[in-house]
Amino acid sequence: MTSELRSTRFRREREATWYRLEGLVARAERRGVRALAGTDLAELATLYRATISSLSVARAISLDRNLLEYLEGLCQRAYFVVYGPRRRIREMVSSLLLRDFPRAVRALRWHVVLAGLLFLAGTLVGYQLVADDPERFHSFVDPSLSSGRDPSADTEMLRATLYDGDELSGESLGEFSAYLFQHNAQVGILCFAVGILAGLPVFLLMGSNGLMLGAFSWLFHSRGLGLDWWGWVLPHGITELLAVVLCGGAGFGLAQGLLFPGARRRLDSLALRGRQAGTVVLGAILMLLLAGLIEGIFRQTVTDITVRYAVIITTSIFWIAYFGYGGRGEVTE
Amino acid sequence: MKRYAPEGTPFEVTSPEGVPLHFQIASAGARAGGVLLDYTFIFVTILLLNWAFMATGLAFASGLMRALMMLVVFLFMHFYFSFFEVRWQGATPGKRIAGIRVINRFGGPVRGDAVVTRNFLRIVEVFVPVQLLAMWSDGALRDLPWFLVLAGVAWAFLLTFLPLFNRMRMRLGDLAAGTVVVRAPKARLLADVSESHARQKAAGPRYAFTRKQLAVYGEYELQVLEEVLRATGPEQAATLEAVADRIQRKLRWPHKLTRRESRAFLQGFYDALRAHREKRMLFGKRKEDKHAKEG
Repeated sequence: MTSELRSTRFRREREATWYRLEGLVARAERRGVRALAGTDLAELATLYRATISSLSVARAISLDRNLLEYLEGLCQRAYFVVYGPRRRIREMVSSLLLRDFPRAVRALRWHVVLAGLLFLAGTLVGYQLVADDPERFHSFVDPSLSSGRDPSADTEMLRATLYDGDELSGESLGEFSAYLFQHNAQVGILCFAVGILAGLPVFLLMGSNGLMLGAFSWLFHSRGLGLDWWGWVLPHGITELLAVVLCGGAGFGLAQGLLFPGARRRLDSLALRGRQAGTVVLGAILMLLLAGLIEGIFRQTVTDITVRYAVIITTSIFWIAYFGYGGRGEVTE
Repeated sequence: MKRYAPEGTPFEVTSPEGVPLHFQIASAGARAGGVLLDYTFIFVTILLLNWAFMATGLAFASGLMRALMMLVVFLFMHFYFSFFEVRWQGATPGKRIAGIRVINRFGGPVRGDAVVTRNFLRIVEVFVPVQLLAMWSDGALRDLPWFLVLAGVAWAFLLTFLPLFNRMRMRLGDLAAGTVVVRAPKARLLADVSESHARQKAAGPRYAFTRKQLAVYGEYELQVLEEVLRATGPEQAATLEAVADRIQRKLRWPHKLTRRESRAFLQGFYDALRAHREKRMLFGKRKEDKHAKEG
């Protein structure tokens, strides 16, 4: 017992560095990394490297448990500050829209195609079933969404819902759009999330949403309002229905990752598909917001059918170009 | 991993510098506490907003205000967790209080895509069981055969309580996003227990231990002794005495020590044992605990 412990000397020589790092990390945790000045940031990186090397040394030479736990915790905290995402929310949204969203959709294109086909099949079946027996309309359509548009309504009233603001003034239309947006977004999130249950509920959800559209389509077609109906529903519907189908495709992506992992380990494959799918759903929610805006602002002010069809064609071309070419050719960070 | 991780499944991430960081998987209790706090914050905020909305009369003023309110509630319900987990590197207010955080299972902090994925799945874990309960209390499930209802309820709750059934405490959202939740302790650096040695050195070592005596205990016991010496409180004197007594018997210590000497004896033994074990460590000789052979 003549000389000081090697681990004690080690601590005495280095602890000032650790305390300094701890102070910077605490500040970054409280107010965000961006609150640190440039010189502090440079110092943070240096101190972090010094401290993580201290941890490495301490593990080899020290048996002081408090010291080891302290260094372990400090390095973990500093690690998150140093390597954590440093982007603003605004930058994240723009990278989502310009790059990540279209790429994720392309990665899941066959899943989206499957969801789209199911939705289409649901629409056709719904149309045919209601044509066979109009009473079935009520079992496919939630009364809170039909607001009086059902087989008992007369043709003039149905026509009015397509062209007049009828009982909905501008303000309550905003309220209705907001209601529809959050309703659709929740349906979208649900379509995605139930994909984890091996995808079976996604089949049901895609099919039943298609049934509803098919039932409405029959109603308007049977009154000779077919062209007007599609002119009413599709200006925002292209965006809205596409978003719902994308969410269904995301659900299938999740199911495929779980059921058919291919060459990857099952959990790894699920995580890969899950992240792509989550990106798709986030983008789809923004699309639903856009659809709600088109619906709330545009639909009541534009009643001319040629303009309506022009919007349908424009939005279709836009989405095809966006998902076909968006974010291609850029280098990944 | 007995030495550094007495509780919690260890989870190792290698930092870009090549040094492994030893995380511990958060306990189910901490997870539950965190999520309960977060949902409390969400509902209290929504209730307060609603109340303010009603009290100020804005609710009746215009449809646009009602639309705005609906959007705010939607954002809170579905994006509260994602917002904080992106801003606070994997923590939410509830998680921060519970001392836990989300990290990437493949190493590194969580990114935005994993965060939204793990939180969108809450709709299956939380809203579906809640919906089932609501349907049950409404009597909507009465027409179904009982075994179907039971199977549905059991299934929903199995999904919700999935973290209890796996070692990594992963919930459905963690599986889908490739994340795990770990403890995020904030340890303080305390004074070195052996530093008092410097002060004692002036008086010269009062206790001398043979190599054979120092070979009895391992690193685990050394660190337990560290805790005993650090502890404060009314029972400390009794604990010190009991521990000193056991060590003396184990070492076949020749003299009977008085009570007052317990602390000094343990301090002396700690210093000697730590010096011995740390020296052996330099030669690559570790001894995990008293049952292990040095090697």
